[in-house]
Amino acid sequence: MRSECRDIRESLDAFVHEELVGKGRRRIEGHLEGCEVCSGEAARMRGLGGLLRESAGAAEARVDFAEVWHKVGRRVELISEGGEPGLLERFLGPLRRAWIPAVSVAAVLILLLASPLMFDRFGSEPQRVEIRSIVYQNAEGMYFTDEDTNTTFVLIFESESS
Amino acid sequence: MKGRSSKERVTEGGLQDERELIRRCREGDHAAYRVLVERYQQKAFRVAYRIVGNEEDALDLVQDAFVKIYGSIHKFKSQSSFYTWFYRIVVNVALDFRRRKKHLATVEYNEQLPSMPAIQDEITIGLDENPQEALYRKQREQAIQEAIDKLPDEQKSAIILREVEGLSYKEIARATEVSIGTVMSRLHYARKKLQEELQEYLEPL
Repeated sequence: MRSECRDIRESLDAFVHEELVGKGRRRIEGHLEGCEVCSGEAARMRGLGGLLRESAGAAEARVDFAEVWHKVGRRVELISEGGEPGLLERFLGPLRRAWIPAVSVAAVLILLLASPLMFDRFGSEPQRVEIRSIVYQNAEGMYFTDEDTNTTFVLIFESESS
Repeated sequence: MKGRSSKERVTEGGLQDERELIRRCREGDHAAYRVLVERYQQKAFRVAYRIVGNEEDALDLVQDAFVKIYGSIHKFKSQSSFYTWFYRIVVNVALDFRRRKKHLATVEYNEQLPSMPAIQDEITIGLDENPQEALYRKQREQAIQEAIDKLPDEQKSAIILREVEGLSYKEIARATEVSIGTVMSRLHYARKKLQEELQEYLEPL
């Protein structure tokens, strides 16, 4: 590729997309008149645009848009009837970023402060208990004793195979 | 460089009219919103269709996008252009859908038994079209869609907004919230890849 062509190619997108004006545009127009390679490339660029537009346009022509508003309108009415979420967002939206971290920090602090109270009540470590079971006629039972609190729990189940 | 207008640029009078419509929409005026929907539905469809490659899905996405726009119209800043904001929402709704569908397709494919027969694609033939033309159109559509699918999302949205909707670089930059330089670079790479992929449909017959 010639060095002049290389320079032109850098601006060819903008030229084809009609983003270039004045001197820059005239320079490329002049080059394209005398360069088959670059004018071929410009034609392929335009062809690509045409291909994408034509394909989307053909699909658009096959579609019936009459129903769009009916469906959108129904959903929009539901939004309006459902307590205007847009209005709620209007107030909460800007605050959301601020209150989510604040609530998270508060929740962690509450857990940290409340944990000694919770552990005092329920015990901070799993307690050792001894579990025993009894089977008598059509009943099964088990009991265990919490040695720390000296409490005995008894559970009795009716046997299914009676 | 000059700020080239989109195909159907909003005129000064039209802009005033649009601002008024948006103001009324914010007050819950559904009739005003209907005017906006009917004004923009074709544009939304073209963008959605070019991203998802399916008319039915595109039409559903148009509805989803308009519902989303209505739900967040209070967020729209009146001093900016409605249509660049509108394009941003449509592009995002369609890209999200495409990502979800791609993921779903991967899962379905993995779960398919290897002996299952492939479902044949239907070809819709127009009344004035011969079967050969219809087949060519179908193949071309598939090739376009496959080529677009291969592009990264940001290149995809840039090239569609430029080539299908005719937005200027400045308008694309606003709609996609990047600089004009980034738009130019995205368009350059997208165009190069598409030209390579669609070479046989771009060569003069």
